[in-house]
Amino acid sequence: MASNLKQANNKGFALIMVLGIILFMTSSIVCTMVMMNSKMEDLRQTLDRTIARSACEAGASMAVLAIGSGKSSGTTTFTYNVGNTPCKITYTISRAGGTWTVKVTTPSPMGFSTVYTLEASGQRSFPFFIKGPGALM
Amino acid sequence: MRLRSVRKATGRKGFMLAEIVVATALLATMVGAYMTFYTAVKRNFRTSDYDYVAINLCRDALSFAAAGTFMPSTSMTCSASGGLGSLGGLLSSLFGGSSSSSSSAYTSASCGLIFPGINLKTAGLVPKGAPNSVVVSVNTVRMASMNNAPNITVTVQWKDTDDGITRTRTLSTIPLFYVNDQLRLTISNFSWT
Repeated sequence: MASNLKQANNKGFALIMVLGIILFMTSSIVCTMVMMNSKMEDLRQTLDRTIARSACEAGASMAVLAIGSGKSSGTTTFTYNVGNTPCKITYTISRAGGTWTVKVTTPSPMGFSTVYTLEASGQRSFPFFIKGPGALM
Repeated sequence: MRLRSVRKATGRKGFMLAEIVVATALLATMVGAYMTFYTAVKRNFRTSDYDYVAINLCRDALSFAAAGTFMPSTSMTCSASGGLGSLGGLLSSLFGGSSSSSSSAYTSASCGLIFPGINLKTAGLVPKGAPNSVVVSVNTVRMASMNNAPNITVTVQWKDTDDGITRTRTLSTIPLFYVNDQLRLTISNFSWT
């Protein structure tokens, strides 16, 4: 009885051992893939945010130039290339008392479902009519 | 005859030849696939590792340039083999000519201007396999298509040690500093949803 059991245990041992090794290797590959994907995702999102930040600052600058040209409110959309990535930027100018507020939005440059928003505000520090619109350039 | 009797006595049978062959084939296939995957992962990791550094170098150089360090129409390059110095860059921007200064290991005058107080090599901000391949360029030009606004473009270029391909990361902006003469806008919030 005991010898029969031993005989049965030896059958297919090599195959089961190899299948076990394969299972272990596959699980380690899956773990590596998950870690690598999360790292790549993190890198893409960092790049996306960095590009969006630059695009939003460009939008704020264009808004300031628009204010300098006499625009006091409204929304404008334009396309700006951050490196080789085209970004559709929308800026809104508003004014409350002496404070100008600029709100710039841009959708994710790399196609994520994210919308980035930059807000900037400030007061005119010097009477604008003394220098004229060209003074901002 | 003796072996058979021993096997019979102990009740043990060796592995079947077919079983060994199948197990070896399976293992070999799997190890081959694993090695291929491992090589690809290693390459991707190394590339993405320096990509991360390159993005941050772009951002640092852009922040520094956007703070008004470089006048519009300035071109500067920072590399291990030298590049335009600060005076050279300014002369180049003013007179349209070019000037160069010899330097090594990212210590040229232009490198000092782009990354003040930082030597890229000693700070470990270069790829391990090709430490001399990093070239950082900063260009400031006025954009006629955008109300003549000054546009700063920073490019970080490096050589990938695995496949030998030269990669680049580019970042650009129209800095508030140059156009914010009278309004003095302050960025209060940058968020995403």
